[in-house]
Amino acid sequence: MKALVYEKYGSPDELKLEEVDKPIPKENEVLVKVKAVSLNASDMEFLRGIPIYTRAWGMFKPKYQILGSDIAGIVEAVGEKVDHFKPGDEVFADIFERWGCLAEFVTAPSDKLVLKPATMTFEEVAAVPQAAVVALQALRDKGITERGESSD
Amino acid sequence: MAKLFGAEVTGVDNTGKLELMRSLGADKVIDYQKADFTLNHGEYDLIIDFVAYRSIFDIKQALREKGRYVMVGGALNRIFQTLIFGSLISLFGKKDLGILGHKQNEKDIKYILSLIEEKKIYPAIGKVFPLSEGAEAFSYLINGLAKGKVVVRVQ
Repeated sequence: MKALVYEKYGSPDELKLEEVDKPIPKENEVLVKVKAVSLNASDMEFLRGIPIYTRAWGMFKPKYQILGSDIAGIVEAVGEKVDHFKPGDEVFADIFERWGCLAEFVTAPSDKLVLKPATMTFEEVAAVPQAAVVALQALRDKGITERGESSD
Repeated sequence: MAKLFGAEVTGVDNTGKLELMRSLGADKVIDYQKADFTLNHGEYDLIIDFVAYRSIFDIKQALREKGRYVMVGGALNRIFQTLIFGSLISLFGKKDLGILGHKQNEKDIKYILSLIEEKKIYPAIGKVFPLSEGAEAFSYLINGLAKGKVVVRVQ
């Protein structure tokens, strides 16, 4: 399968479209045929290897060589212990700490995947998980409602 | 989303993004190349920071008493500054300064989908690139050109 691969930290010039092995799902994983991926600031950080927290996943070179964690796609195959998804299901997820989405196929933990609403396109739903959850958690958990000071 | 929580929202970004922020519901927008929001002393209840260019001491001045600062991304020196001095400022004052590491969970995702379904929020997509132009998609994002999410279409 085709994938956008980088072998060392640096600029976008490090990203090359290459032919790599198609991943095989483990027993609790789902193989997803990728339709759309949205990029996040975290992808830029892991491309550059800056800030330093990114080096926890590879001190001198990236351990995971395919970026992308906000994904939307179609279930291609499921691991033997996965019973709540089946091939053909339309799904999306943020698989931060796994990455690998900028490829034709990716394996994802089944408990991270959510069914895609029929009313949304793959591109729209790929844009949602990380950005919206960060916004919600920043507002709700750190912010306004916890303090009960909304201006309504 | 902040508007849904009842907030009066000020967006801070470069000139090219102000119109998008207004269209998403921001009450006020500030072009950081022309004005310095940290000079609005005691103005804000909550500052959510995705870039962390500014010193935590400048940001503290812009917060109201009991105000909160949440850093979501940023450069290493700012992260350390926020970790060390943020805790100290929080300890000795009423302002709370800290860092958010997001945690994915199905409950939050479902809540967000319900807001989209009710047309209260929507994903603003800036530009779509094919996988073969993935490197260009990263350059576009890194150069601060993205007005909304950058999406890569794969198959």
